[in-house]
Amino acid sequence: MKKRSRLLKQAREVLQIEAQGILGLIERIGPEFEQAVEMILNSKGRVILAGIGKSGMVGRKITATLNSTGTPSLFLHPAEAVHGDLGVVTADDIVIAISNSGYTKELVNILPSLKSLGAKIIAFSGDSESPLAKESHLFIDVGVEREACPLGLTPTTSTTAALAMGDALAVVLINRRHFNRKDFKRFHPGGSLGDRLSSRIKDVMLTGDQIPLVHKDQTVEEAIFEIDRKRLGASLVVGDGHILRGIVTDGDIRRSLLKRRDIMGLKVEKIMSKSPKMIDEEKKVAEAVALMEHNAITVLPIVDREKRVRGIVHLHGLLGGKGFRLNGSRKIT
Amino acid sequence: MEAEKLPKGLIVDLITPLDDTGGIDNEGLDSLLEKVLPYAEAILLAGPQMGEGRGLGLESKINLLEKATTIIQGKVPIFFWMSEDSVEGTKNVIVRLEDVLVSSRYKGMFFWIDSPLLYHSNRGLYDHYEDLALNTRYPFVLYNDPRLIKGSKRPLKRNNIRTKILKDLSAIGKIKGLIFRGSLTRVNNYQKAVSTRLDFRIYDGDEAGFLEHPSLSGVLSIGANIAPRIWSTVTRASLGMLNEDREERGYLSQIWEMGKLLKDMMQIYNRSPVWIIKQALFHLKIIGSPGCTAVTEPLYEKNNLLAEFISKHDIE
Repeated sequence: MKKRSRLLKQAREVLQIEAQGILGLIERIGPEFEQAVEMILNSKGRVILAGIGKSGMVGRKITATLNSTGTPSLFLHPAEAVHGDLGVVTADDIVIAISNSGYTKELVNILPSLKSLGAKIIAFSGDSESPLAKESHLFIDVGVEREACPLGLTPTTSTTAALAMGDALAVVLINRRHFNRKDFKRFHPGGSLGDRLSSRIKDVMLTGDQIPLVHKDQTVEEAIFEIDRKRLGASLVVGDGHILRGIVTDGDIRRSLLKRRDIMGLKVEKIMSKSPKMIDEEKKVAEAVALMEHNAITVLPIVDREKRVRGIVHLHGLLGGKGFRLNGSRKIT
Repeated sequence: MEAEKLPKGLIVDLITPLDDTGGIDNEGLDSLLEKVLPYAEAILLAGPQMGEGRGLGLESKINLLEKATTIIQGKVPIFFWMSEDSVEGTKNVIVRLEDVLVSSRYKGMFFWIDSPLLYHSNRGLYDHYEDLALNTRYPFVLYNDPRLIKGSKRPLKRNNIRTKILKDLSAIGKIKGLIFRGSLTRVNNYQKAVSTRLDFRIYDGDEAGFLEHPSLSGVLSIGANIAPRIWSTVTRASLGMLNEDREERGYLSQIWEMGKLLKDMMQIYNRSPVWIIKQALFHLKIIGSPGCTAVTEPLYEKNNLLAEFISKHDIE
């Protein structure tokens, strides 16, 4: 029992020390942080994280957080940088270099190269007098007063503090970029959505009677009925042999009506879009989503090599429609 | 006088070598400083624990400072413990020792180390330091050690500087830091209290505490009198000041072994550190006499244990 309580006491001490490390940053954070945010917002490049050992791990996590919250980011290993990876850095980029001591040899060694490439450097360090802090354009103080690990054998509080500062940066950037739910959804294809996006189109597409379909010789009125029945906001238009000839959408019909009132008896091919975007059923759902997002369309015909219609997908259907849940958890309303 | 920025790392709580008459053993001081200086970031002289500051008379303190300044010559900052039993006595120490520094035109960094609760209550400490600051050109480092206050003759309600008082004191620019002994909770509160002062250092005044959860400002070390190189390596490693790759195979185990050695050594000298360490240094012919201002524990039967340990582990 005594041994157990001693273990808990030690664990509580560690948590106390690490919590104190983060609390200490509240007082230290200052104008440099604001400048870092502005620097990143005004940058046309990416945010590149660099660090060695545990600081490198922290850098990787900050990279992931920035990427998933709308700030393009990548991780650069300082040791690999000197063997060619520096080629990834451009003058538009901002490098966040992490080292609590600020003396990490591999990191300090690449600073002149980074500067000569024109990249801006932000130091995350606990020592304002260190070579890293002095060589950087901005110094963000992530210093802590105490490590939790005996003999400081492994960085504990200091890496926690750097990680927390990275989160602070990412969250502030989220707000400044007006990053919204839709953006977040786009960057988080994990969980059930992730599974769906990585599946083949043929596994999720609507087929057979579910496909809104009219022959090119049918009338606009018949197409409207078909669109209304199948509720996808569009109908595919095919020729003989189910060869795709075009697509007619609610929008096509609305625009035609604005030009002339008597369109009901017209052949649908007169008002259809003749070069619809299409995709092969063997492709991944993610590719279909990307194609639709890029072209600002919500339905996509699925065809084979001879352009015979095999199916159709709707953007909302691919993303889960009303039943969509972010990462399989919260329902988005 | 150089900039008043406190160093980071190993501060040696130096023993005060005394000769058989109770005066300063100049040769011993010379040898000891020669041994520790290459590894120290600062030297504490006349400290209340190892330097026997409470038992040294003013003349001995003056002699100690005179001799030490000629050896140290600004290589590392000097911390000098200045506290007496009264405000007047403390002020007198400041005046007399400052005369030594001024007359010798000492150019190195110098800090007064003060345990104010030995002669003053928490109440009015801010005004007291504003007054003290007018009496000296040198900055202060506070020394909070509840054991020291408990052992003093003054019946005080509190043995620690109150957190609120420390917060007020941190507004005085001449107070640069604190050497701390006490609980983790208290040091965390102190840390919060001085958080607006980015240059304020809090050193661990307890070796064992430092080895467990190292303060990144540094440590006041007793054992560094005996094993300065190992203490320096462990301190620098703990503070991330070593250039070695932490991920490199062998680095962690090497530091771990050194830490264990220091802990084992602590077990030997912990019961009466001044006496035992002086005995060992005398045995190693670094100081000329093991004499202390007050023999707290004779331990004649054990007085070679530390020397044997040093010899067995080939400690420099």
